Amino acid sequence: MTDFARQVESLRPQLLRFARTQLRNEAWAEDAVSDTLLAALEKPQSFAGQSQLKTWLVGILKHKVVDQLRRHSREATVLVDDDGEDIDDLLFKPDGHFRHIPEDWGDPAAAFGQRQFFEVLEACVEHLPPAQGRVFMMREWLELETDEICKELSISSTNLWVMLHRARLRLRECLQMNWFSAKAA
Amino acid sequence: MPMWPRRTCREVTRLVLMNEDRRLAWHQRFAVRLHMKVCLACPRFLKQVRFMRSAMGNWRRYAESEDEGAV
Repeated sequence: MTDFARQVESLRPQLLRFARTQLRNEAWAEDAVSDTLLAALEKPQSFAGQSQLKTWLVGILKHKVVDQLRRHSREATVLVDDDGEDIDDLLFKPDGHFRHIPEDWGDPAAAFGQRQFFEVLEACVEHLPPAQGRVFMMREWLELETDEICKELSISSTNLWVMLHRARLRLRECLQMNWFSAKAA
Repeated sequence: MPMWPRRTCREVTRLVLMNEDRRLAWHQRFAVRLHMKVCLACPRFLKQVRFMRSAMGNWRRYAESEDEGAV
């Protein structure tokens, strides 16, 4: 195996982690990563001049992940939401007021300077219900526009907004519980 | 659609979150801004939403670079 091939192969676990968080399906994630590594090894010259191997590979991975999402769009999308509960009812009283005043999370820089914060953030994203997690990652990691997501998954914009709404509220709750409250304790 | 709608926190937070993914109509932006002036909770919520947006951006950049070990 060439040096380049060895370096590429060594990044497989990290690529797999990304693919899993995005796809929420082991088989699709494996396929996306395999496709990525094959593409990279077939065209090593495309890497020439780029600064970071990992960044380059992640760029390829993102395309392969979109391919998987498109291919499995039916399965990937739960058209009834995969929430067991209405998160808005949990957060708000019947009159529309908050049950609990949101906390002041302070200076972002304080959190972002700590690796553990990102570990908690990743765990919270991974913990989202699958369909919510997928669309959230498409938005925040693949950086797709909402109409692109709707097109790839063949879902309506209303469906998408409901899922993103719930994903963000769940993420907020998770961070509150596992980072901000934990820090205060 | 009333010109001067009184929105609940639940409705305003919905608009704040919607704004993460699309542009609000002018009357929606107006209603949110109005509500923010008289509510203690929703400005905190907005700050949290922006915090999460920054956090995801930072995570994305950091996780994809080879500096991952450096944080």
